Amino acid sequence: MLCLIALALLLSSPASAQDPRLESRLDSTTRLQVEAAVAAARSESLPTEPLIQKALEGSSKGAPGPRISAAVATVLEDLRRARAALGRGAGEDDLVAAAAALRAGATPDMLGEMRRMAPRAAVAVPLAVFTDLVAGGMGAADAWRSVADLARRGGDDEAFLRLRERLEPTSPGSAPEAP
Amino acid sequence: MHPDEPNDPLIDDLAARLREPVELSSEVERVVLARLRAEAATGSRRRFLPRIRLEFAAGLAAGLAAVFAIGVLVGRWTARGEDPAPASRSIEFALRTPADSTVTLVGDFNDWNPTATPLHREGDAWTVTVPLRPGRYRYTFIVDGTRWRRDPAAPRALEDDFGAPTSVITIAQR
Repeated sequence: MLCLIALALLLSSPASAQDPRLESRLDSTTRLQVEAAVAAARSESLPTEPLIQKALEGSSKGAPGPRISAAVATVLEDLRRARAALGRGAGEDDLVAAAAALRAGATPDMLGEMRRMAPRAAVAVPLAVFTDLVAGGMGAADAWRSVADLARRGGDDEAFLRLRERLEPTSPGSAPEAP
Repeated sequence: MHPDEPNDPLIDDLAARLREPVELSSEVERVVLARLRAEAATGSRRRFLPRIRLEFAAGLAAGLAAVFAIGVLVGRWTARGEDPAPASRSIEFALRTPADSTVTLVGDFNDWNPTATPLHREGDAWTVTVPLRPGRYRYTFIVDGTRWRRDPAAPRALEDDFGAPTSVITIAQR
């Protein structure tokens, strides 16, 4: 009977922070630090996959362990700030996009404004377009003005992607190659 | 004493006296009965407690099992009530490069595994189609196993923590 109780509790509890994908890709010290960050994210009901993907990206790119741990910690902190700005009801995609937007220069007030403009809609694509425009060289204030104007007019996701294409056309073949 | 032995008058007299009922004082009777009741009560509690523990454990187990089962059922019911998982879309990635041998795709959608998603050569272009659900993904190409190239046809990822160029793709909900 006690075994059944233990099994029921085990099955009903959140999955462990250990992820088999990390075991073969990270050294033990880095893995423990990344797993601690994943456990913290899970306990705060934040998305964990962005942290794992950041660690795997660092591993594939040959980054040293401390740099991977620092990058993962930064992602976790960005997600916390994004949650604080968007509120507890924010979806996973919204949080990931908001975290990237914060890094691109958006302020928590901007994110809160976007939330208020679309209280029941996902804000992932507008925020992703803002980030992409800044990454393409546009100033954060100008990029925000463009995105916020479209949001006020009720633009859908496809409209935001068209806005990005219009403001920052990509030019195939122009990307620099890494050394 | 053997039944064939003759009776001894002295013994017969003693036996007869011992068989006479002994009258006890009411105080002795009260004390003895009180002790018997106390022992009876203690004994029954000792027998009762293990039964209580067993019943309590069984009840607790049944309660936990019921809570777990209800949680699972509510979770499934809630999941049915929510929007279904958004459908994947086939996204084609392409790169024009004079690669000698291989071009592979790594990103948030394949655990950044350099061998998971090889591109196929079509003339001077390398392409691959990947099913992706709506979301934001960072990715890059690896040319000939050593050179990292971002996608020139996609926005650059701003959060580039490891020094190699990275692109980003946003898949909108339809």
